[in-house]
Amino acid sequence: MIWDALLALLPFLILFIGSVSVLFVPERRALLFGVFCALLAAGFCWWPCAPVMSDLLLVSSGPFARGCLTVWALLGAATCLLSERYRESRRFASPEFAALVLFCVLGMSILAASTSLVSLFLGLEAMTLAFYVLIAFDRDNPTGAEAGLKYLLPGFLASALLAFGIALVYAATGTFTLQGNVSLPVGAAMHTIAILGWTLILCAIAFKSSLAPFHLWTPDVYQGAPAPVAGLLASGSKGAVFAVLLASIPLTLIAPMRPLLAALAALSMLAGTFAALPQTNLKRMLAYSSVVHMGYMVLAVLTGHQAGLEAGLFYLLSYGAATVAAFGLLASLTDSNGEPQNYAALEGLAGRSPWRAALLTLFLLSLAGFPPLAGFMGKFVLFSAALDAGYVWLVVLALFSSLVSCYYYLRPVVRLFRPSSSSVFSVVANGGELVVLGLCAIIIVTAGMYPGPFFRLIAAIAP
Amino acid sequence: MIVPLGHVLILSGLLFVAGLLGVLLRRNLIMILIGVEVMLNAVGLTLVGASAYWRNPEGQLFALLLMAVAAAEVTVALALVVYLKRSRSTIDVNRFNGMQG
Repeated sequence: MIWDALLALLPFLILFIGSVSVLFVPERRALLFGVFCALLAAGFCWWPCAPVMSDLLLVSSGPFARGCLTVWALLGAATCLLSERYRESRRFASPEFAALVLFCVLGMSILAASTSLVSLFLGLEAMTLAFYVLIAFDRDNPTGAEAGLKYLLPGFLASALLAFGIALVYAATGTFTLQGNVSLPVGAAMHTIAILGWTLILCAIAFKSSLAPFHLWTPDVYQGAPAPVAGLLASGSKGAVFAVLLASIPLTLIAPMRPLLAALAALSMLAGTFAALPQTNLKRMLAYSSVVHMGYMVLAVLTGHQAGLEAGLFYLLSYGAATVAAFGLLASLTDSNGEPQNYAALEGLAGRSPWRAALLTLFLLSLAGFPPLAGFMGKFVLFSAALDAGYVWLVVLALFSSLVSCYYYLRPVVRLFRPSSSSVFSVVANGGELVVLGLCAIIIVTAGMYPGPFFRLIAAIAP
Repeated sequence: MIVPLGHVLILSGLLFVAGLLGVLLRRNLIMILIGVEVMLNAVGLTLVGASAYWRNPEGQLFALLLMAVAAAEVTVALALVVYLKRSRSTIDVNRFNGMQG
């Protein structure tokens, strides 16, 4: 019994023990040790284990939780690989950095595997606590601390809202388990309390996944955080929140939540699109565009059922790969002067480093949804699933915003291929960065041209 | 249960709103952190009240857990406050506006 439980928790334990023991590894090897621990956890996810009573453990060990854990662990490994340059040029304390990344991955895994509101809260807090430090990690960067503060205050507010929402749902239903909670209690007073609780939980989730009107922290945090951390924040933390929302909390079953979700989706698409148009900083542009992408993800949550779940997970995969790769490419261009964030600094990159300019173009075009890349396939499947579920006006809005998005994604691309007079020598990419960027490019191209295996995989792990 | 659940919820709701107003209206970082603590204590009160109403101990356990999480959060936040005070010599949140666009 106890061995079964330990075996079911093995990937979580590997991440936890790894995050503690990496602190004792020498500076030069710490990031590689972090990569090793993350890959080990991802590998041990698929070690066969007996099904354990999930209410005993608060985390499920089903295929969906395991699939999510694998993806988060790979993202954590990619973050460690991309940060190698920062250890050299920005004097990062690499053992602490690797420990925090592993702890963050642990939080995301608990979040995606949660079967109870308690583990949901714990997972979200573990992830956020690690991010508070990671965002402010670069002490040479004058905007780093400010970005940390801008994540800290909304994060605090969101965790208080989440905790109060959970307490209200518990007061109304008397249980923390997620399965028992979706059916609302009878009795008018308890009904109102439960609705209020779920609304507060939804507000907290909107804060964490930066849905408009709770998105105001996003651009500042992305701009000030180190690029690999911003990539993990944009893909992993939002992905984990949406994995919970898609698989464990069927909020659409609660009828009064539907107009609220639809309003969040519509506002995110509009606000993100119009705020992204005038940006001249790549990280800020990616931040506002991520608000738009999260609006599309809410569309998948609204669609619900199997179709919405599969379309949402595929979209999350294509968005995550392109986002991590775009931030990773910025990280690979970093030297001791900092990251080339402005479009002006990226001008003429095609002349200095043609393959990196081509890759950045690929990632941005995939985010914009150009065929035959993964972003197009994801949007196609997602929008048609939402259309089948009857959300016509939201799909029209989504099509409009993705049409406009071509403008702000193509603006930096045009600058990349413009000849520039500046003779700035761009730094050479190292091995880890090549591996991450290459894998992401392969995923984006394959998932766009030949999505069958990806959908079969998602259908196999879907709960 | 001697105190009805409704009274507990009203009191904790008032406490929560008081904390929320503190977070939204105060500009001093320390006062904002105190506001968040008030909000989390309102959550603890709700949990303990609901736990007594449903006669199961889960709510009280979660309240204990919440204290630990709140302590961890405040530790990180105070470290950041000290760091900001040293590097910018202010903890007024309106002064942190270096990034625009």
